[in-house]
Amino acid sequence: MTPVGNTRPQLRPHQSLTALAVAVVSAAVVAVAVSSVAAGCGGDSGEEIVVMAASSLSDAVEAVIADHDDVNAVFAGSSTLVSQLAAGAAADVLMTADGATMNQAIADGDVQGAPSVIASNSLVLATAPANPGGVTRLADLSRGDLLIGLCAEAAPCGALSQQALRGARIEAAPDTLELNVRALAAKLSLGELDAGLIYRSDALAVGLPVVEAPQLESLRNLYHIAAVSARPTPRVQALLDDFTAPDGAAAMIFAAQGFGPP
Amino acid sequence: MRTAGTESTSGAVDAGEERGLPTADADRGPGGRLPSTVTLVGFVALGLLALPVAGLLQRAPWSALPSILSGSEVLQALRVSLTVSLAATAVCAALGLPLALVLARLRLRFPRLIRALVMLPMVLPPVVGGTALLFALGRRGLAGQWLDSWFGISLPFTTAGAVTAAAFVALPFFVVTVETALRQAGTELDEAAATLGAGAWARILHVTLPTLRPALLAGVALAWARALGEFGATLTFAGSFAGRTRTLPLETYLALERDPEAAVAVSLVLIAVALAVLVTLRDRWTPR
Repeated sequence: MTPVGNTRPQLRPHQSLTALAVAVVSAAVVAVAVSSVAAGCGGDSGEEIVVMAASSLSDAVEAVIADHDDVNAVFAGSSTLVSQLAAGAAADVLMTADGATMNQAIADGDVQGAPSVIASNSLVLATAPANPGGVTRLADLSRGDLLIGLCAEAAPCGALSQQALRGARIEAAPDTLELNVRALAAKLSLGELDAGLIYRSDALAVGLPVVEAPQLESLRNLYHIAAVSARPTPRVQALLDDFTAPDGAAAMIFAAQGFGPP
Repeated sequence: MRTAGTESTSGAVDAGEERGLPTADADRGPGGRLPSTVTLVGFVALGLLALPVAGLLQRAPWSALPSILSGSEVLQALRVSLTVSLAATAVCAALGLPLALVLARLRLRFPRLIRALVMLPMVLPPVVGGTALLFALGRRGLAGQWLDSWFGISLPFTTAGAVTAAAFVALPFFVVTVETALRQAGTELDEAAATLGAGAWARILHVTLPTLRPALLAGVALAWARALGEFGATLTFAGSFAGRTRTLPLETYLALERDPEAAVAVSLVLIAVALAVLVTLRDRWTPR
């Protein structure tokens, strides 16, 4: 090659196409690498903390993490969260709506921190606004003329509902088994379902009428929290401490939203 | 007659191409003329598409497959899926053919807007479609409240509701396929029949429909495949109840949390069905 003035070597068309293709492919490779590195160090200080929480906790957890920087929450049914963790979802803190789902995550090896109980909830018989079905007692859940919704049994609210119905010897006639309690509450509040069993805190949050049912009062579910890693970073530990402090701000928020004490 | 038939065949192919289905045209022309980079990237893309299927196959519990697939929950979901998807396909054909004729043959005002409306369920997230259906056809919905108070019909959480949700997302696939074929076929035969004194119904039945046969079959197959795979709109609008509204995709999602092996097994069934439909489409309706 003889360097002549400032003429640059010209790319022939197929060369420039090759160059373009190489650029696109390498950009994609770099993007994938960067995002996987970023996902891998979600718990480091200065990085985003990801909290996975049961959908019934959504309002309370949003309120608590509003005071923390760079904390994001993912909400779904507890069983969905556990299977997402098993599939490799990156998270720092797991909050489930019962002990069974938390134990599953621990048994899977996806949660290594020790769990603690931060709050409780109980089921209520909630109806559509203005109670168009005239629901007055728990046994009305077996009425065939009403549209009844329950949580799917894989979700903690579903397991608790089955337990309650068995205890009360009621054969419910559900029309749908929703995958998480918030979806059920939404369909009740739209008036598409007449009655269903949801958490007291959800009935309060959505503003649904509640029918008193003595059979439900003795049953409680316990919300568990645990760090995903055995050795959480100081920021993750601080967040856990906030949630578990008996008289802290988080405890006040939980109480105000209709949750019971642990 | 012969020409028109061929034209409508290619119409069905074009409709397939719009949704990225493979066509036989891809391997036409001299082999080995592509720049090697293009070939390489092409095969990488193919690998990306094949990888998830490979992932499922590798996790498939082959020996337990018969017992899982003959389990009562899977059989129940299969029955619901077949009922719902076939009924939804029938609804698509019954409503979609007139709609395709209206779109292809009438001079409409705002044609772009109307076509966009028809195709909306194709691009809308199904869960949005399901929510919209609740607001429209739910017990308290725009039209649903009248259905309820006049006829006592309430669609949500019923098998009919699942059919509605599946038909809503599958209808555009049928309409677009048939409409494209109608446009390709043109109106010359129709006009010739009209000058020979054929009435409007006779022209549809004896001229238009016979030439549309391949496109109708393609439309039916695509709508059925889409209806069979429907998840989000069904879950939102029809809920999930075994034997009534819990279709195979819903069962897959539930099984994933309870028994991942069962989820893989059910997924394999859905993939096998979808591949069978697509391979049949390609063999029957594309030129070699």
